[in-house]
Amino acid sequence: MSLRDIFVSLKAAVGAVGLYDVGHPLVTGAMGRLDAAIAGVIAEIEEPAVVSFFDERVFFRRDLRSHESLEFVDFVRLLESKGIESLSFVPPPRTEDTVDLVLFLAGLGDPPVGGSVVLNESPFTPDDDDQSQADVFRARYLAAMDALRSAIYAVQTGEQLDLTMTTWAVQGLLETAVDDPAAAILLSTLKSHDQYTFYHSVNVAVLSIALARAGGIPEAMMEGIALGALLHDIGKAKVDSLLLNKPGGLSESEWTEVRLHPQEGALSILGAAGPAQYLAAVVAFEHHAGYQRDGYPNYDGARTPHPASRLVSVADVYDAITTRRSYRRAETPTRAQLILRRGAGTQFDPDMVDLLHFVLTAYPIGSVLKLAGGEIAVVTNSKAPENHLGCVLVKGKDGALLPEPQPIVVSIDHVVDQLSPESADVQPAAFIEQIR
Amino acid sequence: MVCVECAEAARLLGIAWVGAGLYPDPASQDAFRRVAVELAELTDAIDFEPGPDELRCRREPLADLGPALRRLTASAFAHQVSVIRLHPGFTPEHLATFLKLLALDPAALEGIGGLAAAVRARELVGIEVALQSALSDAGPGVAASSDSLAVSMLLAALGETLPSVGSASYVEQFTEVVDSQPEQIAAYLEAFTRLEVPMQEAIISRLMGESARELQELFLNQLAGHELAALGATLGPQAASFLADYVEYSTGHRGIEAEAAVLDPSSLLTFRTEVAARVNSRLQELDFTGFVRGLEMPPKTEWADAAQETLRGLFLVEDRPDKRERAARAWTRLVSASVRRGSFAEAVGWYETGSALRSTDPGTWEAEHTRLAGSVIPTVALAAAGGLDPARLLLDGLGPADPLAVVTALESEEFDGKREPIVAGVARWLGDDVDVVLRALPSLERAVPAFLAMLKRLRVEVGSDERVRAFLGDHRPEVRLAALDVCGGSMSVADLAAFLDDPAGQVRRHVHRALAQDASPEAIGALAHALAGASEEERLTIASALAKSTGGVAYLRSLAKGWRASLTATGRANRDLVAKVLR
Repeated sequence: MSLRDIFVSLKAAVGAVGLYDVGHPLVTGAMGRLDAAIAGVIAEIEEPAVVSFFDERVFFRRDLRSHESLEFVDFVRLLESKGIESLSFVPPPRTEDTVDLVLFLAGLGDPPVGGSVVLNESPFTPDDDDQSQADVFRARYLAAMDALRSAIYAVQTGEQLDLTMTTWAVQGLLETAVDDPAAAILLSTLKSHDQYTFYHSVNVAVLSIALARAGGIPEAMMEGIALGALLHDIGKAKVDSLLLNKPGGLSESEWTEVRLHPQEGALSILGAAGPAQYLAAVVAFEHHAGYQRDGYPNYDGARTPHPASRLVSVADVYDAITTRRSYRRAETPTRAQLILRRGAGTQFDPDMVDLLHFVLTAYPIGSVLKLAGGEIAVVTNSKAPENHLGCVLVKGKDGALLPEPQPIVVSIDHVVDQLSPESADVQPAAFIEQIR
Repeated sequence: MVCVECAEAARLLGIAWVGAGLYPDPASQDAFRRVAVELAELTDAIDFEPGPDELRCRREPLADLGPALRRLTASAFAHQVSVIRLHPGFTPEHLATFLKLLALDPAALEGIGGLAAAVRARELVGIEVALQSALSDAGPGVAASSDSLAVSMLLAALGETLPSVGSASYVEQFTEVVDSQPEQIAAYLEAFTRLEVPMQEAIISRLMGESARELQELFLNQLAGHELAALGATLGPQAASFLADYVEYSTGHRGIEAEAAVLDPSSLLTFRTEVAARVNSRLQELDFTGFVRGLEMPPKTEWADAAQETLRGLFLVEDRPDKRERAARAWTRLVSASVRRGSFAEAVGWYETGSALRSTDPGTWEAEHTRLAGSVIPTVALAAAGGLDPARLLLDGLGPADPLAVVTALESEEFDGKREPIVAGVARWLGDDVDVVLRALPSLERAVPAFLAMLKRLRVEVGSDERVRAFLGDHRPEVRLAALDVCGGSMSVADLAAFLDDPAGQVRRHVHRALAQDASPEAIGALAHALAGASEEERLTIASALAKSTGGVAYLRSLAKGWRASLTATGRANRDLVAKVLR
């Protein structure tokens, strides 16, 4: 059991109790999983488990938990909005106390008082000096997501799109790419099923920046490309979300509706853009156009898509394929590249596909690998010399999570499989501090 | 007729619905709270009644439901809600909770008595829902409005209609569904994946044997786009093989999944994990050299060109009038913004994309073009007057649509003090066509002197035109002067002489010169008359004017002769004056 399990089950329990009575089987099931997660964590560390929240960051005891900070940012915001600075889970765990906590978080009860769940007893407050570079990167990633959320809200409600915030956010991502390109790539492995659009768009921006830098694009042009990448799907704000997440296939009329999103995006951006943002409209319009212009939208006299659109298109498809959707599983980075390779020259610009491979390699940073001995490792340096990879070992031969990730160098010959993070139950972005 | 409060409440409700769907905790978002608070400031309770395809407010249907309200209506209808009643004063938290509940699949609330019970249980203050009283009237289609319900119904139906493996009933029923209820195909397929594997294979074999290619494609396409994880667990090998074959030739929908399936259909469908070695070797087969060229990216200065091509594409590809209108508005904004920035070359580029709109929707173009011309012409004219070629080009484009607008736009106060050169630029652009100026003159005020001066410079014969002559009586001396300048040549001595009493010295001086130039006996007579009654200072100017013609000189000399010139004070003054001007 891990801290992540506590978050997952706590979030689920709050959602369930919001809908059903406490005695409902769905609620009792969720509560049972939460109790088990808490008990598991306490048993592992053999002392009270103290989780602190500070500036949207999660600390477990005194350690910053990078991945949980990002993955559960909305839930952490909810906790902070309830005045919770820390949660202490004291052994032995008692169900009635966790129920109180869940009811309080769902807005259905008072805060728990004492017992096995204690609020704000000893919150850990990091010094300002403690803010690591990884914290800065995370903050920028979140800022980009928040800016995108505001932009989508404006488009959905028909308000004028204000591109100022998104431009600032993009500047933050560009700084991260300059400060630590590897950390940026690792952050782009963050995925979310229920908030796909936000994470996906930021990831596409991060990947596009990496590709553009590797391709020698002048700095003066980076902002435009990154903004185009961040906003490439903004037109989906106008498409019914039920269609976008529909588990089954789409009918022809539904496809027609979905295929309107490039036009919607370009229209929204052109309705607000200045010269520095023109390229974003181009990218939004062309990111599904196809290298040979056999995608959409299409019309008589349509030209070959702009190179920036071709670049973002490759980053877009790569991130989409490596993310689980309601209608298909997530693919591994290698498989995603194979798919792109098959489309090179037709659907995708072959130079851009080459570039993606050059930047990511077959085992990009954040890849989850199964080694010959059965261990699971996460790649932290994909360009170690002589067919080697810098990794951290995260699971042993028995499949159990190691107490601490162990840096190792792995020969490619010892890699027997590449796994999707989901199937390996590993969150690569959690290892951002291991990037060196 | 929907009341204003209803329309506004509906608009706010739509925005709140969007916010509730977008934010995990909407009530913590300022934007959502603002909308909720505004909505809660209703003067009285307000009822919304969702129907299958409309939303009524206080019993009146709301026109033009936007996408957000359409979704809200559909969701409320799926929950079998007949009325949503909002009372003044509800909190953002309660509104957020209600909208979150409303967005749920109705099946999720089945266990607790549906939406109404959930709302009651949450004790939402100020928000009530009532359910449809006569569900049976709506028929089974309504009851099956959620996918999961539909799946359950279809499974039950399949259980009855597929008594044995290989039954043709499924295919027949499926065909029927395709024709009559296309919206339920997904549910039907979901039901299909829950059947026993032999049953699936029998059905799919049967289907592949059918001659109806369209039906096969529809069916398999739906399957291919389905949750592959579920298919991996539920499809039999034969069905999977059919599916892989289908995906291999399919290049349309879900292209990426198709590619994946083509590459490795078996692993896609069966989730074999031991594929790394094979994947690695295939990567090598793909002959990746590792060489990356520097990307060729057009410079930033060409972004505008690319964006203009995008706008052109939007005009050409968009066949929905509302969207084309949005594109047209963006066009106006982009041309105007470029003009305001002084980027006239860029403005010309944006302007020219409008030809695509003109070809696809002349009416929208016409309307937008007139709006654009009205807003940018003054600035463009100023730049054109400064000799900026792109501005002239733009003026060429904007002007012919409404040259009168070009002229009247120069009336704007912003051109005070710099109007002359702009008018000069416009004059060059108009060529010899002064008629448009004459037409505009009656509606002008500030710009009149500049245009009269322009007419004078062009030396066109418009002095007898009433539209110009009207300004002879203008209250502003400079306008009367300019009008005299244009009309003087065609005015009679008597008409001119009427201005000898003009209160403005500059006007009188102009008339002195004009009459002296005329030099007819009537003109000299008029000047002589004016000289007699003029002030000391003005007598000198009149005398100077008289001195420029033979007749005038003769008259002056007559004043300096005889006994009066020596003996009377007036005579001595005249003699001194004549001496000064004839020296």
